[in-house]
Amino acid sequence: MRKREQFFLTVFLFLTLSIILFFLGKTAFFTPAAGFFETIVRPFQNITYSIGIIPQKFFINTQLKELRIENQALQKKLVDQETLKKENSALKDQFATTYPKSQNLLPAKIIGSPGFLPGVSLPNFFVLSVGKQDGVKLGQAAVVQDNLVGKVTKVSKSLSVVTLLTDSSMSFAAQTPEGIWGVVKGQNDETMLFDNVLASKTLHVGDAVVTKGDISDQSIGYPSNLIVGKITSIDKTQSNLFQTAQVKSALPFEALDMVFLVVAE
Amino acid sequence: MKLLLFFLLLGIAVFVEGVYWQIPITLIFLLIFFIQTRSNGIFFSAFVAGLVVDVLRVDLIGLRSMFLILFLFVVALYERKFEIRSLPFVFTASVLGSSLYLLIFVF
Repeated sequence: MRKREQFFLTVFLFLTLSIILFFLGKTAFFTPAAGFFETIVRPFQNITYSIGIIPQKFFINTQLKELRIENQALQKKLVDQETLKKENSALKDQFATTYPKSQNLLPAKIIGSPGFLPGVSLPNFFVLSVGKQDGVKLGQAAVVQDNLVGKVTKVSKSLSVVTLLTDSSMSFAAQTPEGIWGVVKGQNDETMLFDNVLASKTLHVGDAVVTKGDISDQSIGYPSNLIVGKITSIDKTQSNLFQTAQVKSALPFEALDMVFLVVAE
Repeated sequence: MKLLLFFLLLGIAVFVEGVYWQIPITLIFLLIFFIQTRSNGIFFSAFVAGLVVDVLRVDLIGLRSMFLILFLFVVALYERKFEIRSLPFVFTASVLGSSLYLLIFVF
């Protein structure tokens, strides 16, 4: 009987503690304590993630790496060229285009990727080693060079979560450098869907898809002309008003260990 | 020695779940250990493990602890009606617990 009482007391004690922490966690009062917790677990989190991506880094051979870098550089060149063309023809004011280079970029180490099983599944989220104390805000874009990685969807005092472009919850306006507009939607796959593109427009396999840009007055959102990926296939039916295309990012998300956040200036 | 091994394995389960996997390996590990030992100390482990996973996932702190403690409590309540130290029970409890966990925390 006594043992049973002790059992119920233990359950009650820890359950009550959990409930108290849960409600305290919602208040700003608990933020320093949560930050302290995060500081303690962060080194272990970092080590676990670093161990996990070793096989990925090992299997991506040097030649493939070089080709990927070359591919990214060529895509960048293509986008730059098209942008210059547009600017030269006075279709766009040079200040209307925001380039990631002119932004204040915050380097962030990837220390976790829940749901990512190396060699089995692809990452949909990255947990980053930066948080509110570093100036991270919800909605900020994450980039690697000129390639879009995703956007910040959760922030705590010293950690943040970036949802990748490929996640099914992601959807944003994009365009080809020729000015064909559409909406990019994640599919929980390595490819994304370039949807709502008018059937009257002509897309080509290999075309780059870039962000249209939706920066707010607080510099939060996607800057324009960030590379989303390259069109790998097109689905166009004459009877439909819209056509769709599959877009693949040039970034090897599974092998990344650092991203840059476009923070407010 | 047994206790040290338990904390080591629990630590690995917590970090693997918090950093990579969505699969609730911490829950399954705690369930198996609870059935083996039937110790009240497991509730403390569930409380801490839940907190750490929440911190690693940048989720609301305390929610996973609540779930783990309630889950183990329900398992303990079945102790009188079923022989919980059996493979069918462990399997059924793991499947049901994991499904509920995934439903709440992942989907």
